[in-house]
Amino acid sequence: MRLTIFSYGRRTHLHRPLDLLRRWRTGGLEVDAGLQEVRRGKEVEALVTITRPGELGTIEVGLCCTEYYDKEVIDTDQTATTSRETSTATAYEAWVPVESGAGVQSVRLAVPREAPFSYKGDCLSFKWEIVARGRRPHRLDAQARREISVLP
Amino acid sequence: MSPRVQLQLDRERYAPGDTIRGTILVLEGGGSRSLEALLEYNEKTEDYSEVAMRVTSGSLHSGDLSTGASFEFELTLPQDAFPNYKSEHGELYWQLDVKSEEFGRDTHERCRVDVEPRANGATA
Repeated sequence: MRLTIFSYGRRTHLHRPLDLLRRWRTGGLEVDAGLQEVRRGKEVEALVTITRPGELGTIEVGLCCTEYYDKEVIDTDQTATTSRETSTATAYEAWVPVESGAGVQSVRLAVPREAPFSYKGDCLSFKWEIVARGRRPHRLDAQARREISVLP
Repeated sequence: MSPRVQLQLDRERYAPGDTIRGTILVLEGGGSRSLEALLEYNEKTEDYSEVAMRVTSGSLHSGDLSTGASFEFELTLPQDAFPNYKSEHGELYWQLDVKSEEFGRDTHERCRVDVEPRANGATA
């Protein structure tokens, strides 16, 4: 079974299908950006709010860029028909550990000068997010995301 | 017979807001209905391509093209133009397309245009 969402691109298969479940299950962890726009080569401030420190495991905050690209898919099961689907790939990610105590923590994350810029097109897109995650052994990670705009 | 043209640009690299000045040289004359220069921002993946934005010169000439003729044009990049970018699965790039509209298949002469952001994001 493949989960399908409708956001960037056409029929998009979730890059990490458990992410949706992780976000539903995330309580006590929030992330925000000091500024919603940042230029390549500059830094963005991530604000991580932890309200249930004991339940989140090891906490990290990261800057992630996802590439969405259309490709032709051949359905070999039936009549070899082709269809257009949007696939995803990680274009950039960098993670920084965060102290797991309650409160708001500020972390500065650098956007590399040679990284993609935010772009939403018809067959190719780049989406930037600040992501906070709590890694818990034998349980789904907690996860919170905030989209930002990276300017060229 | 289809004409054969060559495209010459005034610079190798441009920034958002810059004006691209070019010359179209007719190397071999031929039948044409009209001649036009198009500046396009393209999205390309392995299987698909789309034109996200297009700036046109309008008609530069109407009628057949004679060998040795030349036509100058100017096209201005938008102030908020995105730069070129190549990723693992796709590419975003500016391209100049000189189109001779003809009876039958049109003739195209295309060349990529290197567009980079201005330092510190300043505008033109």
